[in-house]
Amino acid sequence: MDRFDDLRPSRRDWLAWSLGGLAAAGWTPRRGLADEDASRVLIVRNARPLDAETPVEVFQQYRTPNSQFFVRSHFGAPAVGLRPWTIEVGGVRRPRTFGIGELQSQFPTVRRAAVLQCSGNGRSYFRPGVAGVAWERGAVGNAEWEGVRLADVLEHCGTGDGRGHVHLEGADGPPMPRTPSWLRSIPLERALDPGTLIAFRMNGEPLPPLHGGPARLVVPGWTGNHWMKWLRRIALGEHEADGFYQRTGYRMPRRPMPPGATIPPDELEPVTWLNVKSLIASPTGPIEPGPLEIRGVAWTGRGRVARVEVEIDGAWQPAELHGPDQEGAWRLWRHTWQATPGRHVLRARATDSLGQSQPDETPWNKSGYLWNGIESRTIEVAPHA
Amino acid sequence: MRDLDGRRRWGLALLVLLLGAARPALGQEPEDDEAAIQHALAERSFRENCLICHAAEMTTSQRLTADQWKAEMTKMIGWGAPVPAEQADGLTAWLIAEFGPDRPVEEPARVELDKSDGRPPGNLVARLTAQADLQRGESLYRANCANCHGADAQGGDLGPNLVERPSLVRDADWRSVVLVGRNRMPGYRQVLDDRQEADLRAWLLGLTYRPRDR
Repeated sequence: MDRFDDLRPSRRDWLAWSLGGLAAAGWTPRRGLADEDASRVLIVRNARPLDAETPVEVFQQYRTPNSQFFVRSHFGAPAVGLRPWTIEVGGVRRPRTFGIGELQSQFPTVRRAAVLQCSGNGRSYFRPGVAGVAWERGAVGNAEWEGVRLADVLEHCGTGDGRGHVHLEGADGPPMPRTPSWLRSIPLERALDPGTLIAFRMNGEPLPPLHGGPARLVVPGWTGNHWMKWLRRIALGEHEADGFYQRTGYRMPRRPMPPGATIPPDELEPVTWLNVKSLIASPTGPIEPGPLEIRGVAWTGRGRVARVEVEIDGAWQPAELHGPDQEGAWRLWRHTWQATPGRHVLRARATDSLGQSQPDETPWNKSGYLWNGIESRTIEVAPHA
Repeated sequence: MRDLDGRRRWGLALLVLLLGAARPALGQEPEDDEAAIQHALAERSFRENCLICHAAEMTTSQRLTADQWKAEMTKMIGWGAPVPAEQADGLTAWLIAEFGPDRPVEEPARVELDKSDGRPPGNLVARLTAQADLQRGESLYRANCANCHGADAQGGDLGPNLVERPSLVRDADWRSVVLVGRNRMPGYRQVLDDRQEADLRAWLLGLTYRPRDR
């Protein structure tokens, strides 16, 4: 673990660093050491810049707590608070730079729950394996976001003929000059959707810097790569953003293609809408026999979650959806099971209002985007006492 | 490097001793000196070139084929990883050998998110900049840092972006890197006095990131 770090080194990492030599490089720290603390919840996929995912058992509640919400960074959280944060709005009829307080006082406050999922969540499950942050299940969470509508700000500044793309810049610069900047854009139509927010608060707290504070974009239903963190500049342009991250990265084939196939650029499209997906949050480990509530979450991009079914040892049964039902947010689901001693295989499958269902396996794509294959969980139930 | 002369071999053996003593069990033990030397050199190259921008597990968590590792190397060198040409093949071979598709996946570390709001404590920025001579800070930057970190401090061929980085406001980070040094960066304890270090830091704190390729 080294020191230009977005993550404060733990005592153990610090020790490793102090010991010098190659141990200093942060070599695959292991769990189970004496100083491990129950509050260390997030699973580290990359310590610097920080990419860390939420363990699936956290997903038994509607709102994922900020302290347990996954973190994805391209270039790491910038130092915030060096000076008052501003957001520049350019490419419009009346360009202007706003302070956070100005945005909050000038435009109506909007609050809404929405699922934030990294487009690469589940990447580890693709076969053959693909390069990229080795996410399993937890690069997703549901939070209540509070801020102002991007549409209100853009319309205030004058958007012209209503066409084009809204370019987004954060304060996280790339480390090296030849590393592409994290430049992104969304079509103006999506920017003007009343659900698209510039958020300053998350689950009732000021937006934490690791989650993009003081300001990030919220684009309900779309993958996290559009939810620009540390938002610094918004500019209306005729075309989508230039550069690797918009024109090459975050694209996948329109139709499934076999591994190794060469795909012409016009057969690729940007990753935008989430697909339908569910996770089993509980149980995750061995249980006692008797009645047990199987619990989890389910979400989709367009439309709503229509149903979740649970398969126990080969028999599908409907689960009960409960809790808030808002487009763009997730649903909680539960199903009571009389667990009998032995080994059981649990699966969950969500279907959305457009009739899309989770597949057994998501068609392979080379960057490992949008995995939504049905998960199998093998559970050991103890013999009767 | 099959025909190492005696002196070179001794030098490399010493390097293995120095660098390799604390080498954790990442893969199988190299069976001979030559392999051990190559292994140590590749690990050093990894540390010095890849870990400028990211932590080790970004790499060590991957399980990729030879072709995928070659593609990653090409991509990363294209993005500015300063791997010297003579080290590239050895580093690639090491990645292929250590992190192939059939290697077991390591148990990841767990972390607690930083509970602070991430802002510099209290009046830190004001305190660091109040007495500073920014002009002198800039001159010091140009003389000592710009060669590696770029004229605008947003990164150069060898040194990463310094603008708006959290290490500027974390005393321990700042001191350990600037005074002690790290990997290919030398420590500046003998070069900068306290006043100069403060002026340099204050000047850096005043910069705002702007994408070069906007």
